Amino acid sequence: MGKETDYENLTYKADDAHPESSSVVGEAKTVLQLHDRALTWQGHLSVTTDQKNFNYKYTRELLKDGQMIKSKTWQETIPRDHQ
Amino acid sequence: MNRSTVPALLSLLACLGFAAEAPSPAAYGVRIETGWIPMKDGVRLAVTLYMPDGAKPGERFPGLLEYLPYRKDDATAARDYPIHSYFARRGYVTARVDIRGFGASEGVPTDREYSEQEQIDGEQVISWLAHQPWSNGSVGMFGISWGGFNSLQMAMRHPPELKAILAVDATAELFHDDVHYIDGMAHIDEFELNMDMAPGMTGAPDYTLDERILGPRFDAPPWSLLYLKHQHDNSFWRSQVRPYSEIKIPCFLIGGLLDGYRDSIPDMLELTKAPVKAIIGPWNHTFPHDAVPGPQIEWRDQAVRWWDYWLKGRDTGVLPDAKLTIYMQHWHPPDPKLTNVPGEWLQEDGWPPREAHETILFPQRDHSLAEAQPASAVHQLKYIPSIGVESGFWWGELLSDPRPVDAFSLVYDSAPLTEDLAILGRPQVLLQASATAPLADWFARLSDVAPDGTVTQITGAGLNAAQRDSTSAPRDLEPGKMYPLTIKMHLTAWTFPKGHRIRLAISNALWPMVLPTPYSMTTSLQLGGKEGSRLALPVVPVRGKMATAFSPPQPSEERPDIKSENFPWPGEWTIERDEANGKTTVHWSGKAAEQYPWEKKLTTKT
Repeated sequence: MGKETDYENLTYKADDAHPESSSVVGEAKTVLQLHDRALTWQGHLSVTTDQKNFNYKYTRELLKDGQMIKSKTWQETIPRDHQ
Repeated sequence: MNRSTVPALLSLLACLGFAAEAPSPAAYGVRIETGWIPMKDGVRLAVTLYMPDGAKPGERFPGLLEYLPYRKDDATAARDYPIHSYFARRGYVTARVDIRGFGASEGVPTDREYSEQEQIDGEQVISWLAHQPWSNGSVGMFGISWGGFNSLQMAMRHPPELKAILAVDATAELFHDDVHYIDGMAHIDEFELNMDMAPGMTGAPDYTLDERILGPRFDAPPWSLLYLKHQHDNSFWRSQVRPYSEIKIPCFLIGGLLDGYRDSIPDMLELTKAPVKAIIGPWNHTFPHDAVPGPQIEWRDQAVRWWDYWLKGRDTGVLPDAKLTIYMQHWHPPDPKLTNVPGEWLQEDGWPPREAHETILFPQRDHSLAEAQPASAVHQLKYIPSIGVESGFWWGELLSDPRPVDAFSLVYDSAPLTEDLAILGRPQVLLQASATAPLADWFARLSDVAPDGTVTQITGAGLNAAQRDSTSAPRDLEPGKMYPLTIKMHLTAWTFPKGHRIRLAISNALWPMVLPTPYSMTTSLQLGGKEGSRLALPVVPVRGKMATAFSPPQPSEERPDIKSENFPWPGEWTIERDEANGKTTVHWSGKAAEQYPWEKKLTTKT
């Protein structure tokens, strides 16, 4: 038998005095416990805002038996378009 | 012909020998086979076939396709079996196919959901199914959510072998109605988290780390980044779909009054030229046989009647079926743990409902809601970006009492009703409104206020006021200028009991469903005058209970070799308010686990 366990969490923040400053930060993680190894895929998402932009960052990671073997990050500033 | 004559006529026809055929019985065993479907570019898509076991020599079957990026050999394996085996036992070969680049399928992940590549492949899959030795040449397509979306999309492309579809909780409105821009406003939830990670995984049971397979998947850009670059309706969102009017094959639609995609069903009933049959229950984003809240119903027997007629040529009597069977919700207290929504089934012969009429109610200066046009007045509202948690996450799920949101909204209550009042449709609000900022969202929510003050939110909707004239050409507001803003609330069916009040609540935030607009502001609502702010309710007669017609769910077959624990959604929600500094944090978490027989060969026979 193999076991898969999935974890997800999201945290939203808002500031009534500064509506331009909000954020969404989250993580998804899938842990695969196989007969000969453990693999963990995980992703970290962060979107923070200011008055003009969405500040985006996403990191995808892969761990084998607890050791990071791959990681890649995407990061961009995206202008708000009537949002 | 009135409602009471229809059953009598059907009974008469039955007596005269025109009785419909019974749907296909469970006459077969189930045999599971796995294989590959070759695409023209050499990529192979992985398929699990649920075959009728015990077929006679030469017997042919229709194919049923469910086509998803959610991995068939792990993520959906337990969910797939009770549905696919049900159809296989009744003489259908069902195919559960992983989309290119996902799960067990080969190739590089598609660059977005519902991509052109996904749809081109889908056409080839349908053709492949229709040309297998076991095939009778007819293919149906079905699914919930993604599988419903792409069933609609494939129907719009007219592959010749695709004869009918069954779409559950689906829409073709990819900008306004999907989860990236709910009502046209930015939304981020756990779906983004999942779909950003999913392309990076390799398939079960090997989960290979071979860089030739893993590398392109792991390096596939996250879709949420792409979606954040397309913040208004345009060809990016329109290119994957065609108008509902282009669907030429019969569509069986199932939706939920607590599902965010429910508005597609009245749209399709009005716009689709092909036969459309729909069931809308009081469900969230679930199949009806395991819906929470319920009542749960068996839908697979209805599906077999549908498939039998359109794919096997058996007259199972689906044509005289009502076009729409919908659940009229009765009052219930606000309770996220409610297991069964009280109410009754109604039938309609089309859309809009035959006997619906509009009742107009005007917000009054004293914050009442009444049929009389009010004297001119202006009500102002300070924008609080952090309100909205209690009003839900996508205009669907069962909620707690929304009074914490109402407290920071403009609220208008009717007098206690002197008799029951039923509504069926999409309530509409016209606001004459202005803001002191160039960008503002407005939200309108409709609730039922019980005599003890308890509030049950029924429906609502939002409007990004920059999209007031067009979702595709947003424009800043001129601060201080009054604009007419129309908000069409999401589909509902609800009976307000005598003695209860109707509540309309207006706000400028509904967070965290929608990311806050970035300017501090005060908004104004103009009351009174010929074109003054108003609420239009789609009122229908209060009807007696109809003798329907759905079976309770049959016991579902489960794969004994897979053990599931929990489901991530709805998970746990907490809210923290720093009252001193006006800062709010909402935290959500979910967890699930499954055990799989990965060392066993997947081919089984039951």
